[in-house]
This record gives sequence, C-alpha cells and structure tokens, in this order.
Amino acid sequence: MLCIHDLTKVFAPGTPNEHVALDHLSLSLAPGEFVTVIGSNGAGKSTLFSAIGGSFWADSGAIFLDGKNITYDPEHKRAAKIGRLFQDPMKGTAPHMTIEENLALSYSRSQRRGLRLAVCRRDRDFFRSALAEFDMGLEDRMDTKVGLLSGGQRQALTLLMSTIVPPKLLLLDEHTAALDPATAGKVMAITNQIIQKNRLTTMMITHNIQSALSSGSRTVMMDSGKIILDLSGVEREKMTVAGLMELYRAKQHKMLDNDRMLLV
Amino acid sequence: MPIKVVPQMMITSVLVFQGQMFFCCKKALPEKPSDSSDKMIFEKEKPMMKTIRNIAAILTVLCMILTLFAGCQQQSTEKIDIGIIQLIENGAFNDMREGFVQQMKDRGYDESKANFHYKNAQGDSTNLNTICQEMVDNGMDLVVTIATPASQAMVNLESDIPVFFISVSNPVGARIISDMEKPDKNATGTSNAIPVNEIFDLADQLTPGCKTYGFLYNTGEINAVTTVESSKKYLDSIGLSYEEAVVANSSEVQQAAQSLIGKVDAFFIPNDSVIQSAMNLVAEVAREAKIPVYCSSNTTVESGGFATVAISDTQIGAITADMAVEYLGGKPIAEIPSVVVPATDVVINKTTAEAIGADIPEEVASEAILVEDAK
Amino acid sequence: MTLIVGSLQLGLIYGLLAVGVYIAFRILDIPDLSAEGTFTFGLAVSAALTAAGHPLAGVLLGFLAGSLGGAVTGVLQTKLRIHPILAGILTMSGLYSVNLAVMGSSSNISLVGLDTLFRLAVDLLPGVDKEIVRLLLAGLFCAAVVAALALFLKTHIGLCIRAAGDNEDMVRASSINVDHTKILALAIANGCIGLSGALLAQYQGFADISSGIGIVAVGLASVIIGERIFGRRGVTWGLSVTVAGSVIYRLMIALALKTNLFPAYCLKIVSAVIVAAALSVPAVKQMLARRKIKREGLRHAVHS
Repeated sequence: MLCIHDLTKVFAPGTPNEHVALDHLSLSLAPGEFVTVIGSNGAGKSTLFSAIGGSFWADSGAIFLDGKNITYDPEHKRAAKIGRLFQDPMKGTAPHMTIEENLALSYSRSQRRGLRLAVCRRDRDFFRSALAEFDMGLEDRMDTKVGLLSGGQRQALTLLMSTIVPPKLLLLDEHTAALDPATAGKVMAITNQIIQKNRLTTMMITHNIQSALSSGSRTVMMDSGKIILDLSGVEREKMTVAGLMELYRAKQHKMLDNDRMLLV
Repeated sequence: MPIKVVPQMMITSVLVFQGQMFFCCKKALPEKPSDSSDKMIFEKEKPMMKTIRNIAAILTVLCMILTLFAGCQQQSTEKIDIGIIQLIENGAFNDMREGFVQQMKDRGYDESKANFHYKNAQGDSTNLNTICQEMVDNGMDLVVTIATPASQAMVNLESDIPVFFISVSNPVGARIISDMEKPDKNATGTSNAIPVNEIFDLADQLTPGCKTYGFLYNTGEINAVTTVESSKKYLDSIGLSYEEAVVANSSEVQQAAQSLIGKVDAFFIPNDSVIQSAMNLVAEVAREAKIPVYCSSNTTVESGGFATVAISDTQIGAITADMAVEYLGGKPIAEIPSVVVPATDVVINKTTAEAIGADIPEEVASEAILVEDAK
Repeated sequence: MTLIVGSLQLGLIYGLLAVGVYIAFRILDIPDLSAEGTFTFGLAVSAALTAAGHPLAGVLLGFLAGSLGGAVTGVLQTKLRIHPILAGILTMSGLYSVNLAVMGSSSNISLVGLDTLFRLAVDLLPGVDKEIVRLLLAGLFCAAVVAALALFLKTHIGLCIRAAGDNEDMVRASSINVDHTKILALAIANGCIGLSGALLAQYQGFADISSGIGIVAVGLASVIIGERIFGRRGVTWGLSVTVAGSVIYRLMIALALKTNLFPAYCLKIVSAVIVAAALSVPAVKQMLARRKIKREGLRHAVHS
C-alpha cells in the first residue's frame, strides 16, 4: 500500500543549523498492516509523517501510495487518501463550527463540493450513528460548537473525521499523548476498533515501548533519520522492553536513555 | 415651532423609561466575572437579557445626548436660516465662505436677521450626504455649497430648498444645472473657471521664453483636472509643449515636483487643494531650480508661488452672496443666472521673484498686487 | 425626519460594505485593506454605466468589479505569498488608477437628473413618498444579499470558507484547496463591497474618486458596533447585526452632525466620542459592578 524509496530530507542545508531529518529512508507497508513507530526525540518520526502527508517535498526519493506516485502532490490532494491525527487535540477540528458541520466537511472529502446544503437529514442520521459507537454522548450534542468540547472528545471527533471516509493510510502521531489516562485508553480502544473494522493501513507513533510492542503487527524503530530496527512476527512477540534496549545499544553504540520511552 | 417640541417630549419619556430599565436590569442580574482562563467557554448568561441590557444602555446614552443637544437648536421663525456646506478645510474654501458671510452681513443680513449654520464634511464625502439631509431636516431657507461634490450631493436630494453654489468649475458638466443663463434644479451660483489664457499670457510677459510647462496636480480633484484640460488646449493652440506630474495625496507632492525639474521651464498649478496644502515644498523645489511657478489662486501665490491672474476667493463668495440677496428679495431662482466670475487681479510674489531672479516689467508691476511670502 | 430616513438609507447601503468587511475580517480572519479600492471600483463602474443609460447593469457589474478586485488580492496573498495586509494595499493602490480610467480620467462623474435605479423605483411607485421608496430599495438589496450569503455559507463551499478562517490546517486535511477557497471568499466579500459602492453612486447622484478613502474604518466600526450591541451567535446572526451596526453608526454620525454646540471642525472628534461612549457602556457597567463587589467584600472582611 505504502512504498517509500530512499527518502532524504535535510533542513537548512549549508548552514550551522543543518539537520539531516530523513536519511535515505525506505519502508514498505502491505495493505491492512498496522505499524507502530518508536524512537527518541529528534529521530525523525514526525518528519517522516509530514513528508508522507505532504507538508514539504523531500530532497530526493519517492513515495508511492497504492501504486500511485504522490511524491510531488500538494498536501490537500494527498489528504483525500491519507488521514492524520496529531498530538494536539485542538488541531484537527474547527472550533467555531458545530460537530455536524465539521463532520460534513470531512465527509464530503471524496465528492466534488458544490452548492448543495452541507448537512442534510440523511447525513445527519449517519453521523449520529457513527458518533453513537464512540459512547461519549457526542451524538446528542451535534449542534454544539466544537470549541466547547474537552480534549478527549475533540480527539475522538478528529478520529471519526479522518476515518468517516476510509482513507488508504492512517497516520497517528501520538494522538493520545495529551489526554489523561482514562480518556487515552478510551480513545485508543476506539482507534483499534475503527482500524480493525475498516482494515486500515496504519502507522502510529508512540513513545511507550510497551504499547508499541503490543499494538499492531509490526514495530519500526527510528534514529537520526534512519530505520534501525524492524520487528515483526515471532521476533516481535518475544521482544521485551529490556531486550529492545539491548538491541538498540548494539546497533547504535550508545544507551537508550529516554525516560519516557522506558516507562511501562 | 411646535412640531419640534414633540420629538423632544418623546425623547424625554423614552429616556426615563430606558433609565429605569437600565437600573432594574443591573440589579436583577449581577455580572458574572468572565472566566478568561479558558477562552473556549463562551458566556453562559442568558443571551436575550444581555442583548436587551446592552441596547437599553446604549439607547439611554444616545437619548441623553440627543435631548441635550436637540434643546440647543434655535429654530425661530423670524430669522432666515442659511446653511453652508463645505467639503474640506482649505484656505481657498474658507476665504469663499468668509467672503459670502461678510457680504451678507454688509447687505443687511447680519446676526439679527439670519442664522448661519456652517457644516464641514472634513474631507469625508460619506458625511456629505448626511450633512445635506440634515440641512433639509432643519428646514433651511437656503443652502450655500462650496465646490462640486457638495453641490452635487445637495442638488441630487431634489428638495425644495434653493442651492447657491460657490466656485464650481463646470456647473453644467457636473449636471448641477443645465443652463448657465436659465438655472433649473432650484440652484444657481458662481463658477470659477480659471482664466488659463490670461495666466499664460502673463507668464510670457514676466518670464518670456518658456517653451515647456509642467502641470502639477491631483487627479482626484475635478476642478483641477478641468483647468489642466483647458490649459493643454490653450498651449496646443499657441504651440507650446507641456509635461505633467500627478499626485494622489500630499505625501507625493515633493517627489512629483522634483521629477519635473530639468524637463520644464515653468510650473503651472491649477486650483488644487492637495498641491495647495503642500505648496511650500513645491516652492522650495522650484526656487532652488530657479523655475517660476504659475498658480491659479492668490492663496497659492502667497504660499510661495510666483504669479497668477486671480479670482479673489473672498470676492467670489461675495458675488454669490449678492445672488442670494436677490433671491431673498423675492426674485425666483430661475431668473438669477449663474455667472462665471472673471479674473481681474494680477498677483505676484516679490520674494519668489527675487529668489528666481525674475524682473517684473514696470507696466505689469504698476497694475499688480505685490505680495510677499505669507508668514 | 429626512435625517433619520436618510441615515437609514445610507446605513443600509453601507451595510453591504460592512457585510463584505465582516466576511473578510471575521469569517476568513484576513485583514483585507483592498476595500478602499474595490468600493470605488464598484462606484466608478456603476456611475459610468448609469451615465451611459444602463443603471441595472451598473449595479450588477459593480458587484463583479468588486469581486475581481477581491480575487486579485486573493491571488497576491495565496499564490504569490504576499502578506495579506500588503496584498490589500497593493490592490487598493492599483485600483486607484483603474478607477480613474473607468471614470474617463476625470475624478468625478455626475448622475444628477439621470435615470438611476432609485429614480426608476420612485417612478414605479408614484403614490409612495420618495424617500420611503429609496429606503425600500436599499433595504431590498440589503436583505437579498444577506439572505443569499446566509444560505451560501451553509452549503459545502460555504462551509469550506468558514472553516478556512477557523482552522486552516484542518481544511487542508479535509482535502480542500485552501488557496482557491480564500480567493473565492475574498472575491465574494469584495463583490459585496463593490455592490455597496455601485448603489451609493446611484443614490447620491455622483461618483467621486475620493469616496472610498477611509471606508475600511467605516466597515470595521459597523461590524464591531453590531457585535457589541447584539452579541455573537452564528453566521446568519452575524451578517444581520452587521447591517444593523452600520445603520446605528450612521445614526451616530447624524447625531454628531446635529449638535450645534461644537464648531464645524470638531465633527470627527465628536463622532468618535459618541461611538466610543456607546461601545464602552458594557465595560463601564462591569467596572462599576466590580467596584461595588470589591467594596462590599472588603467591608465584610473587616467585620469578620
């Protein structure tokens, strides 16, 4: 589904601030695969997602989505096939518009938008049933302005908006990191539910190694713009946090010393 | 007038009611200090009551002011109410207004017989319409308008109030009247078409040998544009050439003047309020380059120009006053023809003459009004 | 009461300007200064066509002229990445020359005595008072535009425009071309502004190149006065109260003009004081209430 060939991106080349964010990175995802991505800060995880999403063009390399070359497509065009969630719950929704208006906006992603009224009865019923599955009470508040919702509710809404028209690829960038544990758990459960129901190809960045090893079917570890570990199958099932640290030291000749990652 | 009392009484009663509402609402619903920590939580106060309170409060303030000032208006039946509308503060316009008022007083219409209501739109043409409507509202006996936009706005209202315009350069072209001899549309007045022919002839006497003139003016003023057009026609007819530098506002004047240096032998400035406002900059540039500046009004000459054949602004105001007096004496407007006021005064600035090294021939100097830079 | 009816008429005509400013500043959240140019563009086009005998075409083309100006500003901002404020200033400056050209290099076109929409409307309804007919015509245009916009902002495209001013990233993530959306929205906003100018030319009987100076401030004042008095609720409400704000602003100016207590040159400061006084009433009330709460709170603290 997703094919990344030899992707390279250098920020501020030729200046003292030069930083190699992506270093000849290659990665392939099969349709329906759920990959978790881990790595210390500055490893290039979010940059990778931004490159796939189209926030900038890479310096070299190519990106293929479902066989199509999207390397030079503008961001909004890629957004038709790629869903993204960010850590900041405020980022994904328009605060001064209502829940149903936000949903109508993303629902029309696949169609040509014209002068028809944005929210009609049929759509409203569909939204209501979709929201009801979240069990957060949002289906009763479809007329509320999104700005009045809590972080967890907004993130759940953003999740629904990204997947209401099933995308070819779903990119989750630590989307539960800013939520309290109870809400984070709930949102994660809904995430898994949606991914399984629609068999979405997914990549998820997380800082929690334990969670990374237990979610999905494959784990990729990045460091300094490269992929240094790619675990799947039996090897992954047997892997523990300590084992991962040992592997890291062996590869990079330095300690994995990021506290957040080691917290169980 | 008894009719005017009714609105005042209405206003007072509304005021009392509003005041009550204002204070009652204030007691019934204490203001919740708004929680500014979370920007996204909107005020939960009952929106209807808040709106009513706001409207009531603002109307109270308005009504208080209205009552206060409405009471100050003197609407007496014996005195004539004369409205004066001016578009912008400007030396020339002010002179015209003062000339008009002074002449009216001299002809017997002083404070005992007439009220002069002067309103200035402060250069904002959006205010012009409201001022004209206010004049109609107050039932003026006649309205005097200075310059073209004010005259157009007033005549367009098609009210019963007669309009006397001062110094509109092209009244027929501006559709204020259709015929100078037989004014229609309840309006008449004076036109100050600048005598460009005489000015250029004077230039030839004072500084002979000028082959190219430079026009410096604001494209936004119709009076100036008309004058420049007639100048171009005259210069074409006598075989001289011209350049032009245009500005949109006073900040561009200095550079425009400087751009003409080296290309022209003399400047010509039409009746233009923007150039007039920055005249000392133009004078400095021109004197430095020893170039004569021929103007269209004595105010501009006094501000540093060289010479002109002028219509005195005060005089044009006075002539209009004479026409108004004729009307007040009983003559119908249609029988008071509009006049193009002839230019008579040759005005020369001595300081400028010295600065550019020009000699004023004796026969011109004896007839001319010699001025120095206005202090 | 010519003054009151006249102020209502002007308030409605400038209400369209305020609506355009509302769309740009409030819905799109873009500081668009091209209003000065586009207002005069609509004014000039309408005057030129009315002088040639086509008042209705003048109004319609005035709207289109304004839209064109807005689209240019949009392109400067989005495709050429020029800062929004500067883009507006560039359009405004460029349109000055265009407007002079449209007016035939003259700075003033007179329509006194010619057939304008207002005169035609008066002829159509001979039994009704002339000023009331003019008021109805202005009101009709205003109501039609506000209704059309309110409906439009509920359609798919309208939703894109509203979201673009709310959260641009989310709009892009919903696979919407933000640049095109902004250009369209600016075109519509400035179209309303151009329409306002077009109507004004036919209303006041002349078009002067300086009519647009300072018009952005007038529009903004109307928007803020409307919001302050009537509160913010939704888009339809916002559009309607903006028109109301424009009317109230005109009435405040009329009030300032009516006062004979100050000399004529004080007009601008008197109108500024009236507007400031009216807008500060809620803040002053809150200050007084707080002072009272504090006084009583301190008194109780002393006693206990």
